[in-house]
Amino acid sequence: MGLVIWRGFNISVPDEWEILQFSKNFEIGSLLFADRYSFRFEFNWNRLSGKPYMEKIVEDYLLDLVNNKRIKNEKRITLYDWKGFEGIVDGILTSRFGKWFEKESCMIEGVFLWDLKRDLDTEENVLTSISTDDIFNKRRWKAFGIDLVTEKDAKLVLCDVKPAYCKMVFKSKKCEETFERFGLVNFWLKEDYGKWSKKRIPQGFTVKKTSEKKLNDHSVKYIFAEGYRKFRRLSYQSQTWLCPEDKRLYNLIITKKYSKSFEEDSFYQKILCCNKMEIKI
Amino acid sequence: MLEAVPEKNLAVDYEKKENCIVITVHKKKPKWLFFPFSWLFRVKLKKKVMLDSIGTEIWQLCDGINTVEKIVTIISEKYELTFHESRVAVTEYLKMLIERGIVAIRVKD
Repeated sequence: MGLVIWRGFNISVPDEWEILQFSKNFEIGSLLFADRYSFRFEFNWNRLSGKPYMEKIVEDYLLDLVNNKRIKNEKRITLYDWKGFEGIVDGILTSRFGKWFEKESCMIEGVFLWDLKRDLDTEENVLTSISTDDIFNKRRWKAFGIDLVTEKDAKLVLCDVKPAYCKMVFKSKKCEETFERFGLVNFWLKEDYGKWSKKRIPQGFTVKKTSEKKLNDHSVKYIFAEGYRKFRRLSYQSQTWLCPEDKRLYNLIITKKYSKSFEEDSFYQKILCCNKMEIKI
Repeated sequence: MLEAVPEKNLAVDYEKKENCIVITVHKKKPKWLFFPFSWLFRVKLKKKVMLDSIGTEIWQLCDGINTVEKIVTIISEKYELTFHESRVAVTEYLKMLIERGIVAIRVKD
């Protein structure tokens, strides 16, 4: 089972399931997991102002499917706190569960799509793994090979996933954070990654300081720069390293309001690349 | 799509260069290309395509036996990509090879 953390929710799914579709929307959205051949699991969230009556929602939804003749062999099911039903919906064997998560004020729905029959163990393992993440004032995200920590109020504004590349951009009141993970490094990186990182500094910014630090066998290169964007004086921090374990290149860029006390000690480790690396928050 | 079998176009010429390959695709002579048009218009009847090292590997795996799924799995294991990362990269690349007439695809009945 592999752990995925998205929008404050931990979900463990079988290793062969990958995220194929995602939503950045904090209020309402979904994550779709697929194995090689088909979609397998849909994780939906809906932020509500108050606790809904789950049983009534499940009942109404089932009734709607029955009335529209979209479901066959329907059966109500309950697994711990999860209320739901199974049946053949639009020709696909489906089991659908819902639960209210008070801490996040979210109604969560888990939908499994099965080939021939329900895999009860997988269903139980996935559903029981769904929990809210609990880090004080921070939020952890773990998906597409990136395991990161960001501010609790940070909003995911961009998530770009390509083969051997992932970029996630978060915006909060304090700063903008860009997390990147690059694969197949030997094929495209023909220079020192410190130099490469320097070349990526946006126009209008000037480098004030560069440094290097060894963190558990990881040689992390820091760049501190400052400049102007839209008439605002900004500080730019970049942290780049090549993980010796997974051979991927990690890059974190933080842009925030200019501050003089701009030292690497204040630039916490926010990406976890392998077991040797630790996140400091 | 995963069950489809890609196969090399045997009519192409190829030349190995270090760890990549240069493929020459021969085009059909257009019907209108006869004298005097053949004198007036220069039409290239050959097209060269250079494949990088991963592209060369994918092309070499198109042997008429390996399915797309097998090629995706081989590439994902070799380059430590997830299955879907590799699937996107390999299928996009195969699409390009098919469009350029380098590879043909055989779909199971």
